[in-house]
Amino acid sequence: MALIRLERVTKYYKNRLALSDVTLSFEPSEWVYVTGPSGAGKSTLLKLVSLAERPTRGRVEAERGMRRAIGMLGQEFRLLHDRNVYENIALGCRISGVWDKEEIAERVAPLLDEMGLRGMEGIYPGELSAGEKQRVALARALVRHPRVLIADEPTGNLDPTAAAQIFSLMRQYRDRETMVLVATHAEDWTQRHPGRVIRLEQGVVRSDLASPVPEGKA
Amino acid sequence: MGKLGYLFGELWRTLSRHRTLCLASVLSMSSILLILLLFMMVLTGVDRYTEQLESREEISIFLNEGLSRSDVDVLAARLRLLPGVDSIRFVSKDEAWEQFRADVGDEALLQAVGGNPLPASFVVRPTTGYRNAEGVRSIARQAETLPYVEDVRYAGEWVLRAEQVARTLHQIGAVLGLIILTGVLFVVGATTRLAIQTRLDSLHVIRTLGGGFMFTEAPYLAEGFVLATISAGITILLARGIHDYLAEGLFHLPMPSNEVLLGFAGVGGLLGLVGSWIAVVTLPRKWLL
Repeated sequence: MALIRLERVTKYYKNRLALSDVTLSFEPSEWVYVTGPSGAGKSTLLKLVSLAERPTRGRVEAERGMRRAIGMLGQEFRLLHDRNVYENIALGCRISGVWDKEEIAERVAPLLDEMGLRGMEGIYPGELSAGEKQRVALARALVRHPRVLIADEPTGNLDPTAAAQIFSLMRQYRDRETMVLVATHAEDWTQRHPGRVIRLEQGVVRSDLASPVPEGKA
Repeated sequence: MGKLGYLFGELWRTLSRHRTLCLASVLSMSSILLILLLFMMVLTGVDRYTEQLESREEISIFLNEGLSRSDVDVLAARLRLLPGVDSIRFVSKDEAWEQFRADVGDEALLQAVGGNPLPASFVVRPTTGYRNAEGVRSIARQAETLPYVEDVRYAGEWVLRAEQVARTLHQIGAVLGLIILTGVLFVVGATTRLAIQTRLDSLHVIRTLGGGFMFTEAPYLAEGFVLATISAGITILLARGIHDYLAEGLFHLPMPSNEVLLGFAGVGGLLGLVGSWIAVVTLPRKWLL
């Protein structure tokens, strides 16, 4: 059964058409790219899939409670500058409804290790590099144990090494049943980490190509 | 850390980050609330004075000269039947003279007066429900119509005037309260609005992450409530100081009861809550987009 399904979705912002008659379906463990030029409707599609916005026409179907099971990662790291690394990650937990201090610690600790942030818990975002900030943002998204991870140009502000690190970390989570949806200009990533590629142009789906490599072997 | 702990953490973060703003807000609110509390203290004083006046509710009914014992008994019986009469006491001519002599004390003056010119009288004490200006006056008016009654005297007019003054002051107090309520709402609202403005970036992030009421509104509501409650507390301390200072002199400004002060602090906190809520719900949407 699809995690999220868009059925003939159209989205207008005032009089501007952002998406037109889009029908798409997303399955667990899928690794999906959304590509296309600026203004193609990538961000709009991500907002609809993340259930942050409603379509002007058509339907977005998702399981009840899915909103809390969606992790978001953006080009801008969007960290809270008055909270340290640990608090920033823990915030993701609390927003998803986990308030127990011990449970939060149990969720945050492994992510600190996986993201290479161990020892930086007390550091504030202003003292972190761009790559470190994006790893904190990724940890904050993943601490919610998301079933869907949505990344909007996640490597836009990163150097190639940090970008590769972020992709490989996200890739690990795809292997843990999380559906990952990545919007990107940089189409070379689709070659390095193959997956399903949805190409948008002027709000219309021009192509929707399945992964050239069998799932699980990417 | 549960929700409450998170809320306290956020509150502490805001209060410590915006110390100057919060201090200015608390001082402004305390000043405004102090005006109201001082006025309440004046009202308390006026009310107590009025109550004292109302306790002087006895009515003196002076009798015609030369009444027989049976006439006096008839009048006494009719007085007892008047609505609102609790008890009556007969004061004979001799008793009145003795009392007068005791009060004046100047024998030369008493000699000049000559004989006893004072009439006998009844002193009427009203029942509890009639121990006010209106009650006393109604008894007095009925007593005037009875036979053998020469004159009726009572302090009702003074009580009535004092009550009118008290009523007017209560009305002024209500208007003042409304003005001050608006003032507190304005100060809390402005403080909350400023606090939100300085944290718009964080708010955007939290909303993007899906943070709801607990993350976007509740911290500001708590801030408004706490700042206003602190202000009310400071106001009470200031009022207590003023009360103690004045008590050293001749002027006595009574403190309201502890229950009233507790209510004052509670209403202060509630105003803070409402003020910050208004600020949050009227926030321009474009700020949050």
